[in-house]
Amino acid sequence: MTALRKAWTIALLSLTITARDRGALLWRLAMPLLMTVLVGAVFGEGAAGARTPVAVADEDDSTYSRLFAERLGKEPTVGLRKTTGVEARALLEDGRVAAVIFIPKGFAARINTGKDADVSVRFDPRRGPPMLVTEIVREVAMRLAVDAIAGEFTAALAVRETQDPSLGPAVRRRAIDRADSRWSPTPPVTVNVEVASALAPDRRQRLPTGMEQASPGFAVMFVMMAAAMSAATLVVERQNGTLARLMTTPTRRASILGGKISGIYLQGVVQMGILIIVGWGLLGVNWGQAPAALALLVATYLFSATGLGVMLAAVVRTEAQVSTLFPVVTIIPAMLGGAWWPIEVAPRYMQTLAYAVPQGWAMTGFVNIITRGLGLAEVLPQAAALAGFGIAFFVVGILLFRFE
Amino acid sequence: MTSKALFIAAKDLSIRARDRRALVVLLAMPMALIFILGLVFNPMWQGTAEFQRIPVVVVDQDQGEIARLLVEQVLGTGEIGRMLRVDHAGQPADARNLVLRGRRAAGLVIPRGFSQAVMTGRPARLMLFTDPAQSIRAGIVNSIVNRFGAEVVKRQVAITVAAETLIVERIMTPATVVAAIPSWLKDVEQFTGRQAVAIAEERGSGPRFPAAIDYYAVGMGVMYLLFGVSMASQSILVERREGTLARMRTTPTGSSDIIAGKLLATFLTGLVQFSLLVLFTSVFYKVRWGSPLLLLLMIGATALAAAGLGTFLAALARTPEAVESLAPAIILPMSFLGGAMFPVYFMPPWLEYVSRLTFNRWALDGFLAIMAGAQTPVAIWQPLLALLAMSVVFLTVGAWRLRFR
Repeated sequence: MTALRKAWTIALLSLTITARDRGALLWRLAMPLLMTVLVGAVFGEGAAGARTPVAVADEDDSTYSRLFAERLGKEPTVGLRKTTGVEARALLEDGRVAAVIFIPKGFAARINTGKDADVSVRFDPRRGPPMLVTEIVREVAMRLAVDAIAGEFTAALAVRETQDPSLGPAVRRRAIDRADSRWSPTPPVTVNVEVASALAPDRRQRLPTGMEQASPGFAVMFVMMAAAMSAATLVVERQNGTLARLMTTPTRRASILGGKISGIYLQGVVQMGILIIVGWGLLGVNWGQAPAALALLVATYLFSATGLGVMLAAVVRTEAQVSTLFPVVTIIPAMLGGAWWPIEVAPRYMQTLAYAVPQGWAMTGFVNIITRGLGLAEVLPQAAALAGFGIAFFVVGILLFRFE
Repeated sequence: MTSKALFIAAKDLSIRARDRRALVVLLAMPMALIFILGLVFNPMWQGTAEFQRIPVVVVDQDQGEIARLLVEQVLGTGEIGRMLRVDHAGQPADARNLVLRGRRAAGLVIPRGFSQAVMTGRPARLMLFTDPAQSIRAGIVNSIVNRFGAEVVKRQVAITVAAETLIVERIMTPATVVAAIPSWLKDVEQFTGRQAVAIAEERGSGPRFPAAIDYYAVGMGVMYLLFGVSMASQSILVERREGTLARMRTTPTGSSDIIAGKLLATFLTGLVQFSLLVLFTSVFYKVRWGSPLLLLLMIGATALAAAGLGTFLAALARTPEAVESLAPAIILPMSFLGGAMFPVYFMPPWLEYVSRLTFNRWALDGFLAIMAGAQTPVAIWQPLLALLAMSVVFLTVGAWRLRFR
């Protein structure tokens, strides 16, 4: 057999061994899929968890008071329910709604007579201030303020022209009415929002979907874990002397090492392939529309992960040390890199740290492909960075690797 | 419990205490995780998230008075100006491209004729491109632009409605209205400050939500307790395999003593581990855990239930290697469901029910209640009961299945 064939045989052998190891399968396939499903269930598009539950207690039930419920009802990330003032307090205390909007009786009457009206937003302290809900309430309040101002202004002018103060209230009412009617069918100023995405219109996401974040995020983390576990296997083989024994065979060291490394890479390819296909087929994960870009990103990420595994195996002496380093090279960088939550959510300095680890570059690439629908050209920088990481890891790993 | 059991327990504990790797994994790791999670989530939960300057690109095809007001005054100065980093592009397509690649969070296009439409009382439009991967920041820009729109609209609507109404009511003629409008433009400013609707934002009654770092101290602490206990129960299996356990049975020590001793060691491991975590997080992260008495009670119940779970796990797995794979496979999803990583309040109702089946959920509820200021055991009777029930069930089943043959 040639050196290449020997290496290939070693590679295939390691793949077969892993495929039969139930613990390995659990960690590499079952766990990421399970975690993706769980997180997706909580934050996914269809899940109720994606919508903030909000209640409106409208004790006035007038054209103006109803505006709040109408506007909130149009917001896709809000799950609206109508309730009464009494029931609302209970809902809030039980934690079944994140916020309650109270509109007291007489709301419209106060506006029509030129007085200030009150609305209160009461939120569940366990969830914190509901920023979006408050913003929406402010929006409706602004509309009513516009109406009220128009009413006030018109009434003042009318009184000034006719010198008859008794005209004021009636004119005000009519003016407010007229002002409010200007908001439909088209408001005076509309802001058309377009989500800038390269995805085909029917695949464009309006809501941030937990699945889109969770699926690549967990794949990224568990692939690195698989690489670290393979490193542990190599270290154990070295400890046991199995590796040294291979040196007594006619196979060259380069073939052995090459075979082992290819084996790790191959396992990564199979793992990632299964995760992507199952994610796409079974869980409805959108992996973007640029297979070439996806393939390049996956290939370079696996390259960097394999490199890290080799470097780990070269640098570390005992299996116990691998276990200790395990979370440091897998869980923490995954968090920093945006695998657990969207990078956007983290403070700026943490976002910068993401670029210090391969996981960060991988997640950026996945976001480009999946969320923005971009292609090969936009993913090249990430692929290049990952390749760079891989090369650096491999150089260190291969130079330092000892068979005994 | 006989003195032999105690002795076995003490011996086991001393062996474990010397396991440096365990120390790192079970103490250093959760400390690191708590720190990171606290850092990341605290600003969001406290509502004080400060977003670094949001990059926005503007295409002003109108160049009219209102457009310039928006771009130069509103987006360019004051508090809003400090929130944004604004630059310009020539064409809408260029702006869209920048947002598409993620270089800007949002792109604003002011079409030609915007100012004209506003000043003549016709509906006007603005266009905003948003980056789907920066939805929070884009949302903020959206809100700012909308509010500007509303300010503009205040004056426009006031004047047009006044004109219409006064004409319809026959208070003024169209000609006098047209003549008056220039002075109206000044007069209206007196009215535009009106709020009309006052919004009161109130915090509902109920416990204050803890800071992220406090929450994760509990969440991660409980999760790592499970890992610690699973490692401890692994050692029971190792001893069983290596025959040392069988060898112990040739001694006058009864097997029930051996089991009792091992279980005690597992329980004490958990107790010590969690207590150390409480200590370290109080000292280094200033986490306030609450009433020491209740805390002790809670730690005891939690360690007991954890020991039960660990024993059950060992019984299920049968070999130490199997525990290594099985333990995280059970602990991670269960911890997630129990609220270790995301608060249970964000979960849909059906998932919240499922979470009540998990050990983590009850432990978290108890500790969080103490953190929120509970002073009497009555406040935590439910978690205590649930944990004790779990302890009994799992310890019994686990110990029984582990009978050393």
